Amino acid sequence: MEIGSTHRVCQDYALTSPESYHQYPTAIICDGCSDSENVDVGARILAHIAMLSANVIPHSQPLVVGDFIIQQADRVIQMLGLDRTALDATLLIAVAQDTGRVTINMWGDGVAVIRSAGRTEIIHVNFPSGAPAYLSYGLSKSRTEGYANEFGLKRVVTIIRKYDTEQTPSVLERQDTEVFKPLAWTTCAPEYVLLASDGVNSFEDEHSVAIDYHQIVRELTAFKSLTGEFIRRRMNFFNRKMRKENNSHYDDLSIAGISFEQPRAETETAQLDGGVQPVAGCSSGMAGADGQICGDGPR
Amino acid sequence: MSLLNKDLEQLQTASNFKFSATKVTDLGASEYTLVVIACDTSGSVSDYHDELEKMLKTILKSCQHSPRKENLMLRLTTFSDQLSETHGFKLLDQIKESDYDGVIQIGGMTALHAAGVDAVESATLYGRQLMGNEILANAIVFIITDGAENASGGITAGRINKAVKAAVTEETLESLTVVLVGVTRDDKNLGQYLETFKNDAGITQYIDIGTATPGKLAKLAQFVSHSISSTSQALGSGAPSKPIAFSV
Repeated sequence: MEIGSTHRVCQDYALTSPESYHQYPTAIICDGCSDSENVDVGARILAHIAMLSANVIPHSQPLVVGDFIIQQADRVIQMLGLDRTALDATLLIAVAQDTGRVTINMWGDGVAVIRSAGRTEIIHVNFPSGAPAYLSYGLSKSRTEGYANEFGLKRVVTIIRKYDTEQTPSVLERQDTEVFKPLAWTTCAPEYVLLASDGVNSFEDEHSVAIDYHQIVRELTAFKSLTGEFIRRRMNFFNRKMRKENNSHYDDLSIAGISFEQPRAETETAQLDGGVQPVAGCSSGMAGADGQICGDGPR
Repeated sequence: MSLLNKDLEQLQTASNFKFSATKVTDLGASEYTLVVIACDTSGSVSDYHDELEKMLKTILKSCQHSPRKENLMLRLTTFSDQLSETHGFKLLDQIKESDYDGVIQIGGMTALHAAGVDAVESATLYGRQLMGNEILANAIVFIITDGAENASGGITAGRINKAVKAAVTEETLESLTVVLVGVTRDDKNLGQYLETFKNDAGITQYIDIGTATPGKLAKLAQFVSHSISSTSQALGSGAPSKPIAFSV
């Protein structure tokens, strides 16, 4: 995780768990809302409960998963005597099943990167209003209504898909209004899946000119290998490069991922490792907001 | 090749010193401190070779209990007329205390300069390999001797200096610290010689432990362990750690 230049406390939280600790290798990102108090605590609580959920609820049922996570997190927050706005955070979860299938669920904004044989997909979720729809809003009707009135209901998903054999990526953009429901994907036998907070959008060069997020994602995913602390290694060198080029970022950045380079899968944020047996041959797809899978098939 | 180096990659430095190291593809961490201990095994250490062996085992055990043990790699060499690599750069959980049984094989002369060049160049080359795989590394080298150079076949202290400068200029290691340990038996001439050698070779720190009593070697083991720990903690800061003081 890297703290943004405008923050005094990092409000992002990244968490992973290998197969040795939990049944399903899992990667999680939580990005707390700057305008809410104690989100650094809330982000951690959400992440740890999300980790727990990976072993008790199939993540192919995202609405059930989301409900479980936020209800449990709300209980914990109330026990701590904190306001439930402490849970105002985006939540991105990737869970690898023992079939080699990886399920990704995203509440709020952020980026998922799926690398499979011969292609890379960058899935960028953005709220043009500048205000992501958090899972925590679902705890209160007044909050969902207040959000809708103030910010409108619009979520933009951009999918950049590039095949290794082609020079130019394809770009697909979709919009929807079901902002309080998660976006979900499944993918089979990826080389890796990476989640990143929207801090990827906040990079600027030394002249304060914004650096495009897919440039940042390309740098962040230029892994030399996918074993062990592969993300931390890349982040260390990414940071060196950014410093050398006098680039900066004003928002916190966190990354978590699962790799399958070895027969055993590795999970990493900046820390842990894990394992799963990948299964060859499958397609990736995007699920609509109601959880229905709409696959696009292999190329 | 020693059995202790089985499964390690064989590498060669710019000065043609051969050494072994764990294959980079077998490494999982994002950063490592590379530790090289080059220990004099010339005839003059025969009086205390058991204590030397015990000291090396103590250093190993201490490193294995360090909170940073997952980010340390250790290489042990001995030198008399010839250089000998007991084991190459290995992760601590790959080294057993029993690997150091009988490690001090008493030889004849003292190839001090060759040992210095070998130690520094091996750390630099391996650091370069790690860096090429985006693994941060720094290094600390300990050269333990009780005598003056007399067997390196023309290798000068200046060669060590050159190797140290190259390591710094290349920026493949975040930092390189070289510590010379003199077992001078309170011989002022030897002490003066080693002080001059330290300066000529570009060595970071020189400590004189005087006579190699069990107590002093135990303190030396502690000093080495603390120095390794301090170097490891400095990794990622971009700077070397502050030298640890040694007191007897």
